[in-house]
Amino acid sequence: MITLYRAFLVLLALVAGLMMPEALGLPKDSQYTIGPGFLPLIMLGAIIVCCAILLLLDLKDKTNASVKKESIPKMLLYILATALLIFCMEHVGIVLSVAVYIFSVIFFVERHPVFTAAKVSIITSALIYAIFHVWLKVPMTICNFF
Amino acid sequence: MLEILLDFWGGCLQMMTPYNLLIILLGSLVGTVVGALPGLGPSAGLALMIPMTFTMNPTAGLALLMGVYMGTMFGGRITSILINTPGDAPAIVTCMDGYPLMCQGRGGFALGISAISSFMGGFFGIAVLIFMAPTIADLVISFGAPEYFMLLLLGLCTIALLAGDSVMKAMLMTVIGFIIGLVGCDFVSGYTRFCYAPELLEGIDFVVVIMGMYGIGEVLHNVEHNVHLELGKPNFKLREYFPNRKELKEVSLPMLRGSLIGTVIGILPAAGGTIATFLAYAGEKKLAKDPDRFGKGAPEGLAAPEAANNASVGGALVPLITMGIPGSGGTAILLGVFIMFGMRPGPLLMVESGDIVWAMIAGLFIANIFLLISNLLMIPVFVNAIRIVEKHLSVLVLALCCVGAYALNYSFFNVWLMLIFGLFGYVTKKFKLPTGPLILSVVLASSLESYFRQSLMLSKGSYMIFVTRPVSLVILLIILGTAVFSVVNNQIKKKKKAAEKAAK
Repeated sequence: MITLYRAFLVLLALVAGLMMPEALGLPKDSQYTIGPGFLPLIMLGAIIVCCAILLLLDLKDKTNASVKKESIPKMLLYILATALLIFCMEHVGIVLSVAVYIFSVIFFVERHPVFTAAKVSIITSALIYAIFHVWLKVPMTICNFF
Repeated sequence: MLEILLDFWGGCLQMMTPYNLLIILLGSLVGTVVGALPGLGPSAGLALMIPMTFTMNPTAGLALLMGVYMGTMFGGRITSILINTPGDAPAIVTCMDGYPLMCQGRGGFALGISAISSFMGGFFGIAVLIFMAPTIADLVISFGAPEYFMLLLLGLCTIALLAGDSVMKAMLMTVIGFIIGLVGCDFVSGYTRFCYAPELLEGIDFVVVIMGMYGIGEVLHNVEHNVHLELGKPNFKLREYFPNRKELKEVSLPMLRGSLIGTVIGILPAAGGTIATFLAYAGEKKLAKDPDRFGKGAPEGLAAPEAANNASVGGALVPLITMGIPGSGGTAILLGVFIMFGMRPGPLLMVESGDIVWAMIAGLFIANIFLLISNLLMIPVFVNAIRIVEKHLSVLVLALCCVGAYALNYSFFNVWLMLIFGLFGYVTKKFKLPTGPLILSVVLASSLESYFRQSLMLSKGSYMIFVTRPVSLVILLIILGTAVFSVVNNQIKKKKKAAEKAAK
C-alpha cells in the first residue's frame, strides 16, 4: 500500500538515482588521493540503500503520517504567499513586499482586524528596514519603482 | 602560575576604566542582538563592529570585539528557544530541548538555565585559555589531517548513531546532508558537482538550510497543527528564571562536561562550536538514565550544549594567540584585527604584545559576567516581545527568514532555496527524520572531504594511515565503540519493549 512516507522514500531514492550519472561521470581518484566523484558516488549509493532498508522496515512496521486535511488550504496559502513574497522582493522591492505580505497574511489568512494587520505590518517592516538596511548596511530597496 | 595570574590581573586593571567597561557592555549588547538575528553569527557581528574600532586604541578596540564575540554566542540561543529558529549552526542543538521547554510555558526558565550554562562554559573556556594555552598548543600542533578527519567523523557518527530513535533514519539524513554539503565547485580539481544553477557554484550556505528546515519547517508544522505557544504567566518573577537547587545539581555535571568538550573541540581548528554542541548533546543523551526525555525539554540537553558553545570561544582563542592559527570565521577576523592594530600574530605575540593580549582576555572575562547579568535581566523583555507578536509569529518568522536569507549574500536565489529546504524540513518533521545529523553533515562535508584527501596524499594512497597514527587510531576505536554501544543499546531497548508488550 502506498503511504506518504513510502512515496517520500521512493522519491528520495529516485532523485539520488537521477543524480548518479553525474557522480559516475566525475573522476573517482587522482594520483594518490580521491577524486571529486568518490564521495558523491558513495553518498548517493548510501541514500538509495538507506531508502530501500527504510522501505523494508516500514513494510514490517508501518509509519502513520498524514497531513491534516482541514489545514491543507491554509498551509498552501502560506506557501504560495511566501513564494509570492520572494518573487516580489526581487521585482517590486523588499520592504514594500514584506509590508504587504505581513498585512495580507494577517488580514486575509489569519482573519485579524484590519487595524491590527496594518499596525503589525508597518512596525515590522520599519524594524526590518532599520536593522538590516540602516544598521547592518544590507542593500535593500523600499520599492523598485521610485 | 603566579606569573600568569599577575599578567591576567594587569589585563583586568587595563580594562577597569569606565570607558573600557562601557565599550564591553555596548559590544555585549550589540553581540546579543546580532546573535539572535537569524542568519547572523559571530563573524557577521565582528565584521560589523570593526569600523568602530578604527579610531580606538588596541585595548579598547579588542575589548569591544570581545564583547561582541561573546555576545553573539549568548544571543544565538534566544531565537532558538523562543521561536525554534537558530541564528547559526551551534544554536541548532539549543532548539532540541529549549523550544519544547518554551512550548511547555517554561521559556523564561529555559533562557535562564541556558544563560547560566553559557556563562559557566565561557568561564571554563577562559580559565583554560589563561592557564593551559601553551601546553595545549604544543599538543594540538602535532595533529595532522588524519586526526582531524577522524575527529570530524567522530562528530558525524556520534550524532548519527545517537540522535533520534532510528539509526537508519539518522544515517539517511547524514548522507543527504553530505550531498548538500558537496554541491558546488570542487576547488581542488576544478570540477563542478550537482550545479544545476550558476548560483550553486559556490555551494549551498548551511545557514540557508538551517533557516529553511528549522524556521519555515516549524512554521508550516505550527500552521498545520494550529500550535500556539504557551508563554506562561504575564508577569513572572525573577526567581522563576533560575533553576532551583535540585535542578542546578542536575545540570551542574552536564555543564561541566559540556564546558570540557567545548574547550577541547574549540582548540582544534575547523571543528568549533557546532561539533562541540552536537558532541555535548549526544554525550549527555548517552549518559542519561532516561534518554527519552531528551528532545522533550530536558534541562541537561540544554545546559551541556550551551556550555560547550561558549567554552569553545576560549578554546578557539588558544591556537590564535599561541600560534596565530584561526580555527573559525570569527577568529580569522580577529587575526585581521591583530594585524590592523600592528600586532604580529604567532608564537611571539605574547612576548611582543603581551599586555594587549592579557587585556583582551580580561575583556572576554568581563564580557562574560556582563552578559550573564544582562541576559538574565532581559529575559522578561525577550519573552514579552514574543508575547506581543505571538498571534502573528508564523508570518513574522517567515518574513524575517526571507530577509535574513537575502542578507547572507544579497541573493534572492538563497531565499528560494530556503523555501525549498523549509518544505523539506516540514516533511522530515512529519516523518520523524532527525534534522541534526543532516545539518552537521552539511556543515562538515567539505572539511571532511578535504582532510580525507590530505590524509591519503600524506600516505600516498594508503588507508592504513588512519590506524598507524596513535591519536587517529584512538578516535577510530571511540567511533567503533560508539557504533557497538548504539547497536547493543537499540537491541536492549527492543527487547525491553517486546517484554513490556508481552507482559501486557
